[in-house]
Amino acid sequence: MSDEASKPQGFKPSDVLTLPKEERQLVNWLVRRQKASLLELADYLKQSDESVLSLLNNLVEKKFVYTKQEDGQILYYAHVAGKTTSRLSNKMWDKLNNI
Amino acid sequence: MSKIISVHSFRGGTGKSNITANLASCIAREGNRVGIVDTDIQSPGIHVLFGFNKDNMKYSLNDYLWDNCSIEDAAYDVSSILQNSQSKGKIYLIPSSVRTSEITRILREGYDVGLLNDGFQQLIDVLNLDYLFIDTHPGLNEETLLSITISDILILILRPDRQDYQGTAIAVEIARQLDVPKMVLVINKAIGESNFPTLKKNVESTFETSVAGIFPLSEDVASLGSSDIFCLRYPNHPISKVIESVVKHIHTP
Repeated sequence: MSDEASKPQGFKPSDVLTLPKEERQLVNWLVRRQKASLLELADYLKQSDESVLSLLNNLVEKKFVYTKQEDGQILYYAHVAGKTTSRLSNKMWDKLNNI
Repeated sequence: MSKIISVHSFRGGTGKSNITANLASCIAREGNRVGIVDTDIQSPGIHVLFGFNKDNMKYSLNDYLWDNCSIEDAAYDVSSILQNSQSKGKIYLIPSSVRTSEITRILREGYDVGLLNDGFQQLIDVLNLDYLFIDTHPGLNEETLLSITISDILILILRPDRQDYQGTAIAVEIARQLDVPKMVLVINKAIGESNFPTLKKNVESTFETSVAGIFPLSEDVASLGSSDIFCLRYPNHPISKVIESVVKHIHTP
């Protein structure tokens, strides 16, 4: 499990589509909510704390989720942070910049 | 509790920005505080409907993404367009830059998509918004996927056209994978008003999604040429009534 010091670089929204259904549902909900506790996530997914913790550990490992200690409890965050990239060559951009 | 509403179409030219501006204005006219973010960074346009141009944009969404300003610095109060409706509502517009060099720079250098999510939440908090509309770029890209993910409601615009049908099927499928709580379809530029009930039934059955409204192909809308917000200028026009019916879907839990 990570903490703020080992906060991952984040994921792109399109990466979520590559996740298995349960992990995807969890990440989607976290993106919408910004943060949630294990209990809140278990309640949302209607699963036991143990199964949700296992999903969360997988997602932390895959760098979709990171944790923070707040008011004595662990909160889970989805860290959307991917950078968009250009598909054009530098040559083409140089031409465009001269317009 | 504020609501985030993304307005999207898989293909361009569906009237997405026009419908977004009208829905947002209609909801603001009811007395709500409404924000509109133009995330169509590649081809911005919704600002035109609010009489905006590059000369009265000190900051834009691009500046926020480059860390030149806070997102609220790029929010412009355009509530004066509601003046004839005597509403206490507010509309804030967060435009994307229309300067060629700034559009090409953001496409070339890219930006952190996570900043958009933070910015949306910041806008809701700082401007105390009841509704935040996101006018997306047609097709699928990272900011559109993020906008869909964080939405409470997704409005998909399509024309009664085979290419639009095919693209909409993809968008509906993606939205389902992103667990959007509510999704409705809006058909624009339809012809043969007597066939609208059949069109609605067929589209709803094909996409297994409700159709919130059907707009006829309209010479009156075309004549306005994006120079104003149609439902504010012509509140009793049949097109404005369709806008109101889509707003009812937005209000329905």
